[in-house]
Amino acid sequence: MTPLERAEPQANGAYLKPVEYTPGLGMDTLVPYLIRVQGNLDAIWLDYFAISIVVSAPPGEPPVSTICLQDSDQASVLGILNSLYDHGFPLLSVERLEA
Amino acid sequence: MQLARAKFYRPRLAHELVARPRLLEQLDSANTKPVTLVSAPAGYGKSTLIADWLEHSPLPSTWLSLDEHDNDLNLFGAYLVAAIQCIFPGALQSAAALLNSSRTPPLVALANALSNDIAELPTSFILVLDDYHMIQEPAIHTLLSDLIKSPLEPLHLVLATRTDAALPLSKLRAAGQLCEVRARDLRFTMAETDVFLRCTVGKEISSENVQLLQERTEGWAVALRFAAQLLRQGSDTQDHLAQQISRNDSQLTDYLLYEVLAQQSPEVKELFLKTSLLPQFTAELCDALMDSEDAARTRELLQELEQKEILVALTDGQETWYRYHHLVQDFLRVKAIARYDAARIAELHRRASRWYKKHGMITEAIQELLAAGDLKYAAQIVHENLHPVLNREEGRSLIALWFGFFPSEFAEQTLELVITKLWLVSIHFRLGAAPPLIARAEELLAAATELDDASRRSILGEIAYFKAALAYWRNNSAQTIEITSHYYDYLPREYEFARGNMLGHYALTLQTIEQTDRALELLTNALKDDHSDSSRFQVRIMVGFAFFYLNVGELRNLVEISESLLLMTKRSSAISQVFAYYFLGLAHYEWNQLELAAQHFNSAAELRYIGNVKASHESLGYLMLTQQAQGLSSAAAETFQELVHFTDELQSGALIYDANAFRARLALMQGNVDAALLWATSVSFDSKPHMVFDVAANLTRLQTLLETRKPENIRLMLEETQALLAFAKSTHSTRRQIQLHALHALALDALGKQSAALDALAKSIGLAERGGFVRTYVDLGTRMTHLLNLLLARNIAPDYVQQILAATPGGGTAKFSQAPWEKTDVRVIEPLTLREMEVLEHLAQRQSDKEIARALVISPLTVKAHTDHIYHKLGVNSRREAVQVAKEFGILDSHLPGALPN
Repeated sequence: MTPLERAEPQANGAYLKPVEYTPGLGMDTLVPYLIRVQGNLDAIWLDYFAISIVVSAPPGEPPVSTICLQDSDQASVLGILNSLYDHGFPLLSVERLEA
Repeated sequence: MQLARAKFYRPRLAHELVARPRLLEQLDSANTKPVTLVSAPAGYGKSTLIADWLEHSPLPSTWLSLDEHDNDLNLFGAYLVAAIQCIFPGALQSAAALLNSSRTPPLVALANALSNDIAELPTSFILVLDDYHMIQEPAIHTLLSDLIKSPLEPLHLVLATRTDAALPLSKLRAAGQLCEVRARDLRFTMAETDVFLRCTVGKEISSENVQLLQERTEGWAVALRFAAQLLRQGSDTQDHLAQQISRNDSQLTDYLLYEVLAQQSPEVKELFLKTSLLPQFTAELCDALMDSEDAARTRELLQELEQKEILVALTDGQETWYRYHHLVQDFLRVKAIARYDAARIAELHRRASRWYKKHGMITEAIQELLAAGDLKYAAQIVHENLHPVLNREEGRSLIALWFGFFPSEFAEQTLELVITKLWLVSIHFRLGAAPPLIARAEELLAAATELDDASRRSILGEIAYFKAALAYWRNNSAQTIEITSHYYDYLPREYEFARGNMLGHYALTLQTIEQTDRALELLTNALKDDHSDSSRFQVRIMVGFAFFYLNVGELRNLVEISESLLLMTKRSSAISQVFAYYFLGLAHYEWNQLELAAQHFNSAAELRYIGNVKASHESLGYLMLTQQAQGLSSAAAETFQELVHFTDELQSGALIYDANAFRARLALMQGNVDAALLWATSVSFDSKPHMVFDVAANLTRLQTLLETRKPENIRLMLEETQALLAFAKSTHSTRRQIQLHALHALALDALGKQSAALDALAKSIGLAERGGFVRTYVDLGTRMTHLLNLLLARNIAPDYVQQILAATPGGGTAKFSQAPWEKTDVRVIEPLTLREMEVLEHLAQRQSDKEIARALVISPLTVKAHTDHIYHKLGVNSRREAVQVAKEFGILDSHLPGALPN
């Protein structure tokens, strides 16, 4: 990411050469995400989102569900985060995986 | 339910809309698939695309725009039904009826009714739910999931949402039942950007700039639209714009939006700031906010803004509402808040509220007042609109909706809201919760020095209404009469529902002190005196008449009045219609016309989510007994499950008590005395129960004790029967005397006093002949048959007695069916565990899961599990409801006798 630079008009009215636009992740770009929440995620969630779930429960610690969201746009990532929130699963991490 | 019409209007399409055939084609599969998801961030042109597609769709379609206020199952359901009724007027009757009841219907019942209703619709149709991401209420997600679980032939659901909805999308996708349009589909391609800019800007744009815009906006419709706006302004801005947007400092839309808005005239800027506070508005409402007299000018401005695509016009072709594009609204609202002080903003909300109120949009008027911080005035508006809603006998869930808008500390300190709460408690049949509320209302009234005399008087009337109702159900006739005769006239004429009920209770009380003529005169005059256009007051009085005839055992008159009541209520009022069916059921059951009785009770039971709670509950119980009397044991068992389920949902202590009594009576009919005895010895009985409903449990206890055939039980039973009989006499309840004399006869008979037994039975028969009671005797079993035969030998009322004997199984000799009684758990209410009680107490203190977890030293997840259990047991969906129900139900004290029948 290029650091933010403001274009200031020079005395003659011309603009400084603008910082080149480099496209990054778009709202519609499909990328895989890894989401980790505390709690035991039920298989029923598979009906709702295109995900795979791995649950681990080290002895003496609360269970952790790792959710792999296949190629997803922002609407589906946010959709699942909202649902996890609504169902009371505390979020541990959200990670974008390199495609 | 009052509904905002604008929510059903779809966006008007811009003249210069660029056709996007590839997307329209993609959407065409929505005509064949049950669910379509259009999921993308704001500004991707979801609504526009769908509206455009609908123009060409071969199927009829309907539109519903959702907002944050729709997170209420009942309200959402009402909108959903109304939206579908836009295509099929008058359809979806059973779902509509459910939603018109005085309480939120159980999710399952609503989902079933909707599924069945929709399945019956004659043609396929498209239902668009726009802005579905506004919905957070899990119950609504569940409702929709249920609807699409097994695809309903006629329904094609189209959801426009910013984030994927919590619906089983993955499953639908796998089954090939989901049509999907996502951000990557919606983004403008290079070719589309080119066409779009050419059309909207109206001049040539260099291909480098087109490419730059497409790349930089990532084909984001809203950004392209604003860019086009700017480009339309002048030729020299093209390169300037291109330069500006080719930078990487993000927030492209903010930049574009700022530029677009900055170009508007001061007049328009003022309009922006003022209207941005409202979710939507008409030209007229806009005038009200702007203090503008020039309506034509406002209309012109709004149309211009629509053409500039700053406003979205929602229209049904006649009326037009406007809303801002979502991104614009957020932007403007921030500006308005920065620009105006709080007082100014509050004043704007107040103005909007006045406009809504003037146009009968009461819910919106209340919401705007709350936004203005005028809670006190909002509470007054609620109170002003309470009686019109109560009178209507439908859409009463509005009252709970309005009440729920207020923070509970405020509600507790506000007279109008305490009164509102009392009405809620009363129509939900939880009158046990009334006394502290009445005390609170009186305290607040004493302190309310600012009230004018007329308001004070009508509130005194309302408080008296609840006091009289309590006194009535507590058998305190002196108090009922005193309060009613003093305060009845305090109730304004237009409080038809309240007046009708109060007068009914009064007349019934007069009957219990043997002022029968006065009671009848009062009711008759009230019927004549009703000058209102509606028949609502009359309906209440007719219910009063019916109870009167029931109490005095005049079953023929009861049937006559109930039939008129049925006719009167068929058109309008399901709440009172239930009473008509209930009374007809009772009379026909007593006459041993079991099939007719079952029909009537069933009709009442089917209306249970709509009609009066108490009458529906009783009807379900009697339906079960009728089925058992018909020998249909398995049907009776099914009805029993329904009764348990319905009782669970209602969470009224009085109804739980009744349900258990019904179960015991069924056990007796099935010959399972042990089960009935378990109940009869573990429940505490009122020694002076109310003779209309409550005494039924006492009668069942007496019969149970009798049937144990143990001398000590029979002696106890005799004693209690005599005491109750004395009480029934003192309250002039003929119907109950008939039943008690009969039980008395059996007790005496069991103790070997046959002659006294026959005397007692003769008394019963003497009172019962006029009404033609049959089932009262038949249900008392073979020993009663024997006594009746002896009575016949004495030649007492021989025709009548023979009529009874003919109705006994085998015409007077056979035994009752001994169908085995299954010992299922009667989980009418499942008690909360100690831990759940603890959690509940914390919930009542409005603590978060985390706080509770800390206090109880458990994990938040466990707290969640406990709250889920509590919700399940209390039959609620939220914390607020859980605490409310627990408070009203008084979880700890098991039975609060007495509750209003209305």
